[in-house]
Amino acid sequence: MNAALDDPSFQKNLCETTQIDCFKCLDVYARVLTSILASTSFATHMRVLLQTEFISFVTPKFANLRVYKRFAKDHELGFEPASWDAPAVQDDYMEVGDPKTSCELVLIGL
Amino acid sequence: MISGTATTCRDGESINPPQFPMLICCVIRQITLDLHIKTVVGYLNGYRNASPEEQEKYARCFSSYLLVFCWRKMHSRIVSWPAVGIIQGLDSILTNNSVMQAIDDFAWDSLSNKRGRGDRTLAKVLAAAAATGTVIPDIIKLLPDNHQSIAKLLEVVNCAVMDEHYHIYNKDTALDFHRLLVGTLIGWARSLENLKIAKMVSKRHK
Repeated sequence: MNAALDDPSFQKNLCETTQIDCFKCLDVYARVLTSILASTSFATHMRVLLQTEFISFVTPKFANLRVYKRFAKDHELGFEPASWDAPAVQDDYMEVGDPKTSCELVLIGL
Repeated sequence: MISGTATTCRDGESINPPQFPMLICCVIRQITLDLHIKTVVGYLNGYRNASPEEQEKYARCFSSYLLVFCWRKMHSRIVSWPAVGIIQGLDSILTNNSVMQAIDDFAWDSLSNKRGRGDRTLAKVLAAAAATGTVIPDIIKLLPDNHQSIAKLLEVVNCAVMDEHYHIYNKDTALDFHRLLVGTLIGWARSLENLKIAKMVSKRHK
């Protein structure tokens, strides 16, 4: 139908360009996200969120898996089925006891 | 010059830092542990001896390098259920307005009105992102309805950068800060997923 689109070298070039575009986008988000996470403003914001009962809102629970899957689907985040297995620990919370630490571990660990 | 970085991977060819991220995409497949260690050592030595302006460029290049080198691991973490759970939790407290209550309840008097570690970088990055005219709207689009604005925060950021005090987080900007955090996390996760898809498509065409 379209010789240029069917051409393997064009497709390869297109794929590489798409990858570079995706990477550029990722690079921008990485810069903003790392600046947020490394700032004192973020640490203060965590203090604001985690002061009282809000701890329970930001601590992921395995029991809420369906909600998270829905969220991932709605926001086109994708998910790896293997990484959505039940946690080994008995508690359905994350294995780290302190919610602030667990939250930061996940975020900063990215 | 970042000796030992991309230079090591390309037969001693000298690479200008601004072009560096693009070239990493091409050479990353060949990077071994040995080259990675040389790159890190080269970066640290280069950074130590550089001027403040050069340090900023080097840090940006190194950040891009790490991103290319580690994106698969980053992707597998961000799509894991605890990470998605945290992002969903942060998003949900925005939609159910709990974050506003938390902001109201917080003892703001206990905070000093001075910038802390990392605040200057954050203010500069946000000001630069706002100046592009595309980054911030892209982040805002990912937020729930009724929360698609961080105008207050950006206003404070611009003043903070202009006056060089870099203090941007307070009671008035906390909600916008939370929106920025949620939007950036979703955008970050989505762009990792997009890169993964692009890689898969590319593999299929080889």
